[in-house]
Amino acid sequence: MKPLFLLGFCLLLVSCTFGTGPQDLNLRTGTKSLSVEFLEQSPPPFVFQNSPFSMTFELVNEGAAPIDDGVISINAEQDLVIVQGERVRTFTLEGKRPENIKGDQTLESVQLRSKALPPQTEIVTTQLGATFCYPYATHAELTTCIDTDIFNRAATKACKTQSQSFSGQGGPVSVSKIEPALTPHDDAGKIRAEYLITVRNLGTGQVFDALQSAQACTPGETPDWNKVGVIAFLGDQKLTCAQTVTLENKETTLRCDVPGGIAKSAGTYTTTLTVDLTYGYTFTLTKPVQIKR
Amino acid sequence: MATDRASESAPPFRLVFILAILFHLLDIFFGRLSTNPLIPPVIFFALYVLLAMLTWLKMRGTQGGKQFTTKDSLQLLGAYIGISIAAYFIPVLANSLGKAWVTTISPVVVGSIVLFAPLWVLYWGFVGGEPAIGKGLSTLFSIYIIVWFIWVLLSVLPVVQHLSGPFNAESSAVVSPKEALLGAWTTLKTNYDKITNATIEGTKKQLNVATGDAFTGKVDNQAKEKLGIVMGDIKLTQQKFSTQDTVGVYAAITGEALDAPLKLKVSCTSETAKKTPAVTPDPSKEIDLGAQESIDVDCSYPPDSFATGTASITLGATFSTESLAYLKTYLMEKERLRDLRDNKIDPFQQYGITDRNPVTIYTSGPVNIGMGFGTPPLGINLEEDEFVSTLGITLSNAWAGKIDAIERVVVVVPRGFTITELTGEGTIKPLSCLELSPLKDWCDDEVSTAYIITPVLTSAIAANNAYTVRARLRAHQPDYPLLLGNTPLSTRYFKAAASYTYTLEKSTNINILAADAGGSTSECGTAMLAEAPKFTLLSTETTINVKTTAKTAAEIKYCIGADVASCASQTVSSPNAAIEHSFHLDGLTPNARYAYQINRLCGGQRTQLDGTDISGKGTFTTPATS
Repeated sequence: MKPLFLLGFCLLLVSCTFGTGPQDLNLRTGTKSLSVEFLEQSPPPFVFQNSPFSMTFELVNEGAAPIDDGVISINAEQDLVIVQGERVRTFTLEGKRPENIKGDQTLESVQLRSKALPPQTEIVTTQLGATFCYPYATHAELTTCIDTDIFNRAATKACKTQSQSFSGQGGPVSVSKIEPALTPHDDAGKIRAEYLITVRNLGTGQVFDALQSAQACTPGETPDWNKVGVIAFLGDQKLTCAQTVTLENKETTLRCDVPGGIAKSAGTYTTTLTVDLTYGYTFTLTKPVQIKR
Repeated sequence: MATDRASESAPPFRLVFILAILFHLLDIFFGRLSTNPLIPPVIFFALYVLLAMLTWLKMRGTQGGKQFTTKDSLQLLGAYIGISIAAYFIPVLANSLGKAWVTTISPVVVGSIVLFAPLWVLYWGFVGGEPAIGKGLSTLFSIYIIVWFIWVLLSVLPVVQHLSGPFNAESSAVVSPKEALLGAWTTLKTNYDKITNATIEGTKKQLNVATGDAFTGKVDNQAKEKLGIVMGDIKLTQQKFSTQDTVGVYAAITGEALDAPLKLKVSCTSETAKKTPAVTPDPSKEIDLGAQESIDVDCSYPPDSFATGTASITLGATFSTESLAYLKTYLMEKERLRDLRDNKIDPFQQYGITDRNPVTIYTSGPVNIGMGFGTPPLGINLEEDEFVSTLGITLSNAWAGKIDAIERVVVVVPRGFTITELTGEGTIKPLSCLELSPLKDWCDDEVSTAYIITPVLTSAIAANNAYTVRARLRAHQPDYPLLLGNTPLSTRYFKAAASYTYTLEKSTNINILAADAGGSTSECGTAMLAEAPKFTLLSTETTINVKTTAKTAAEIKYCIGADVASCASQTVSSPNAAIEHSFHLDGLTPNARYAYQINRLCGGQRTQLDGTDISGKGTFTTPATS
């Protein structure tokens, strides 16, 4: 009897899930996407001349979107360090998702060799690192209030139309503010609905066109900097907006219209404003390494 | 009524505030803080207590009819007397602490603190403010605080103190606000001038670099010191030289830091010498000088090499050596660079570059190498067939000697660049890194291209002067990938190694005296009386024969009396350096006792000529008229 009870208890424990269930998770938060760190002692703070050493990064996609065809460009001063292997590499990493709420991670290792120092030179400090360029996307689902009673004739309303500010939605480029503007329509039975959507680069990297990761990380053709692709929906209805916007001082505001307006008969209700932002993102990680004689 | 209103609106503590300032000024100029105190300290103690009492009485009268309890009154009086006691003692404490403070803080600052100490002034300025002392005094107080703050700031700022030079603690052991006040203007003016001059100098240097006059850099502090040779001061073999002397000078040359024994030749030259000197070691042969080793250079000019007057002799050590330098720069595609800038993206920040303005790093030695290659990051326009720029290399004479010749300058440029021409005279020859022994480790044919530039130097480069080589660099479209590499911003190095002949030299000026003013000073300096003077006495004239142990000029002083020091003497000289001198004294008084003193004239000096147990001083008596 007793073993059966213990077995039953163990089964109960195994079947339990601790913490928040996947269904409760909102993974589209924060402003992170790809996070990269050097592993400890790789590269080491100093190496001797004519010595092999390695540089290893841990890449974690902490954002809510996957990275496909990301590019890593290894930075090393060729007069001081030999890079063994490819200097330009690609990578793919899934982002946060219910099965892996931390995001996928991988290690990227680069084998290097220090060169001989110039005569009399005892120590030279060189900068090692890599530039990361990858396409990314932010999917923002924002609850907004549509109030077709623009003249406030109704005594009570289900919600109030107002400006709203937001923090990140699972990517470094996010919607930081929406300002609804509901105005009279030419058709007396409708109202005009416009949204001023502010898109901001909340991260420390730089933004470029989503399809130009290779250009951003290698010489040759230069990418279109600060370009962000935008698609917005109000409920199921696609909004009329500029397809691409350019950030200035890390920010821009675009106007999106509800085509055809909204029927006054719809009354006051809450709905979802969905904004999909697509962009490329790049940053550089470096570390000084001393080469000693 | 009008009078009443005026008295109602008058600031209640204006008088107290003015009195506080007056008492403090009295303290500074005539009291404890004065260098010549006229008022005894007890008077100041009484004045400050009086100030407390006045304040207390005023405060009681401005409470809008509020009745003070005895306890309140006593507390208020206690507080005010406390402030007065503090006001009295702070300057005393500051002065006694001054000696400890001044080792680290400027006396101006200490003086300022003492000056700033009148607590009652501060109390009414900060606590009472405009309602207590009135708008005018309050404004003046604010201005005073601002001026004081600027003054202290200018005195305390490390950069200003650095410009002001080392602080002399000894001279500042006494803290005097009066002196601080008087010195304030000088300090402000001096510091202002120094800051202005430093700015102008900095601007001039920048301008020079910008206009291509010279390229600078900094020494590699981490590098092993390749070359450290010190030539000691030139010393003379004797204190004074005459034209008949052998003029000898010598100096020590020490190798303080040498990575390998240095081969050097010594030299001894004089533009005014008529003869060739004897020099050791042999100037025609190279000698090895190792680290921590020293050699003496001796140079002797034979007699009659110099005329009277000033002779300049220069000792030199000539050696061939090499100075190295490197300069880091950044290259980018021009379009990317422009795009980044247009989009307000800092290219350095974007690509993790922390060393934004790399300067040339050079080895320590007599020649500093500076290089310049535009302002990084340099943009290469992929659309253009050719990229042209100029690499400037400046060789600066950093020591006190001269650069006699520049044998060659090896220039290593990033692969992709080609040196096509020089703006000055000289030749360029490309070569493989493997031919650059012993510098081959420094050059890699895969990433660099090496050239030997042989400049044409028309004259030696004196101390603090420089020579600049300007090399035209070109790259063509097929070379761009080599220069730009695989990264958006590439780091590339220019390297230079200059081989040159350097002469380290030191000069000395010697005053050559006329031989007939005493002969060879080395000889006359030792001259003594060889025997007692011999007198041939007549009633009105006398001949005195003197024999010395060495050649010297001589004279005899004589007069009627017991000692030449106490009578008006006459002198007869024997100006030529000789061993035997005959002095003829005439016009003497018969039957008179004369005092005499024989002097040696040597190197412009007059000293009594004595011998062993023989005095050069004595008396003789002329015979009576026969």
